[in-house]
Amino acid sequence: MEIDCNGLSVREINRQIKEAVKTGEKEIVLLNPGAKHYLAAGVVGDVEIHVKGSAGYFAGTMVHGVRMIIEKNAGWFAGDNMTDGYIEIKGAAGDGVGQGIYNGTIVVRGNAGARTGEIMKNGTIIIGGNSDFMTGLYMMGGKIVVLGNIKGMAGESIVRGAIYVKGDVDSLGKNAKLVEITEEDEEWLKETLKAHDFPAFTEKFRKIVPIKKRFVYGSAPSEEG
Amino acid sequence: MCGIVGILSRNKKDDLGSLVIEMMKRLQHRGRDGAGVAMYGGISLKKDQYLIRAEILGEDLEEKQSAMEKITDLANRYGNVRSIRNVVESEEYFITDFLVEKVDDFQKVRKLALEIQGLENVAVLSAGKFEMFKDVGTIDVVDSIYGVSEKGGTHAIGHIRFSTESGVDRYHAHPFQSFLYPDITVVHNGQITNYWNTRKKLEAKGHYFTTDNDTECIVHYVADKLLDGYSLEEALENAVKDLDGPFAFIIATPDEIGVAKDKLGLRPAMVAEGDGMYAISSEEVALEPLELETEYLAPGEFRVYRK
Repeated sequence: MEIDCNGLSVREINRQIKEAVKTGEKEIVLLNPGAKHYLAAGVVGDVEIHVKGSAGYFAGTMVHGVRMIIEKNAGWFAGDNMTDGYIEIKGAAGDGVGQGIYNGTIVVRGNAGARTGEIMKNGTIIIGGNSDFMTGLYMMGGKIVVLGNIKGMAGESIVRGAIYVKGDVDSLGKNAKLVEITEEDEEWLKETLKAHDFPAFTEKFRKIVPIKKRFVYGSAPSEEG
Repeated sequence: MCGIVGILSRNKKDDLGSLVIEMMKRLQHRGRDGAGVAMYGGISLKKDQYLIRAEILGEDLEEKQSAMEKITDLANRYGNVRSIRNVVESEEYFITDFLVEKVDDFQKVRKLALEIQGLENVAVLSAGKFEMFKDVGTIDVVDSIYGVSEKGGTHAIGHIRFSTESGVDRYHAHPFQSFLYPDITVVHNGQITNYWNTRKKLEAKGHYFTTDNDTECIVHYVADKLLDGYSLEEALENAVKDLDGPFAFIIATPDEIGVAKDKLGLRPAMVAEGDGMYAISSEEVALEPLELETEYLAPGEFRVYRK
């Protein structure tokens, strides 16, 4: 089914989506999304939602099981707190993409803003371009893959999880260290990138991981045994 | 949370006002405390002509007329008042335009504006060759007062206010102007946390603050750099280094608009370019009507667009 978002409030758009999902609709196309905020917020179900343009803030926030494809950009906090599902952003993402996600996968084909994957608990975020300042801020689990570069303070205060990076890392945040990837990591990267239609895995990635898994501010960084 | 917009066209656009209003309506969710627009290139003034827009308070008509006479007397000492027009007439206040001519130097406009500002029950809302439209409430309120959407121009900046610093009234609504540099205005989303120290330094250099709103120090800071011979790019580069706190601001001069974002990227800003048009906004939703290519600004990034 199609929903023309032009002239509709976000509340009305989301009401129509949720009603369609209840009746068993499997594919919903949002026409003229106009970068509106909160598109598909809180939708639960096995449904594919195509956003034919840009989405505003909190696109796909708190979704579960939804497959959401955004044709252009997404504003700040795309996929915020999603618990499962798949969100693909074909353009660029604003700040805080995948903030606090519990599970699922978010793919950004272009660049992502600052604080990608902030406080994420699980799941996977793949950034096709560069990821900005403080990627993986307070990260508690899951995996972030960045095919481009990461700006300053990467992995700031990370306590669990891993950030895989192909390009340069401007600087590392507190409790973050850069290490070589394992064979297991390489296998996972190859499979994951292939599954999401990224170019064949050729170059060596590196990995940002926590120095300590229980980081306390001000404590002397040391390797955890 | 506040919303900011900026738009610049290489050529004068008759529908610039309606475009700005449309963009700002799309940001209305960011606050309802105030709204304002500074619009450039919409009024044709000769080289020696300047527009001074003042708010005049008064309990009765006589009191307001008396203040208008005092403003006229002052202005006639610097040049010649060509016309006086009440833009708004309410029981409590007038907003009045004084078109002053035969003023050969902007420094005289500055001195005149400050003298007018010193009069009892009078506040200068703007002074220069541009128009300032600002008030409390929503952008619809401001548009209904000033008819912004009917106006044309080359560039404009606008602000939707959610007050987190200082009072909610017409004077604390954005944009803010610095009288030290011709026609420079700013709109801002965020907080300047080293405001008092920055203000102290600027006041020591002769900048005159009309409010205690932290945003006002940005316009004086940038004006100060421009007066020192910096380009707008250099001024913004320094602003990103010297100003603390979360911020994104848009600054306008007679020929350019610039945008800057704080080092930690804590406030949103994106730009759109194409077809001789440049636009800036807090969010893409405001840029949608322009149908241009959009781009996010990175933390600490700044841009300048020129006519």
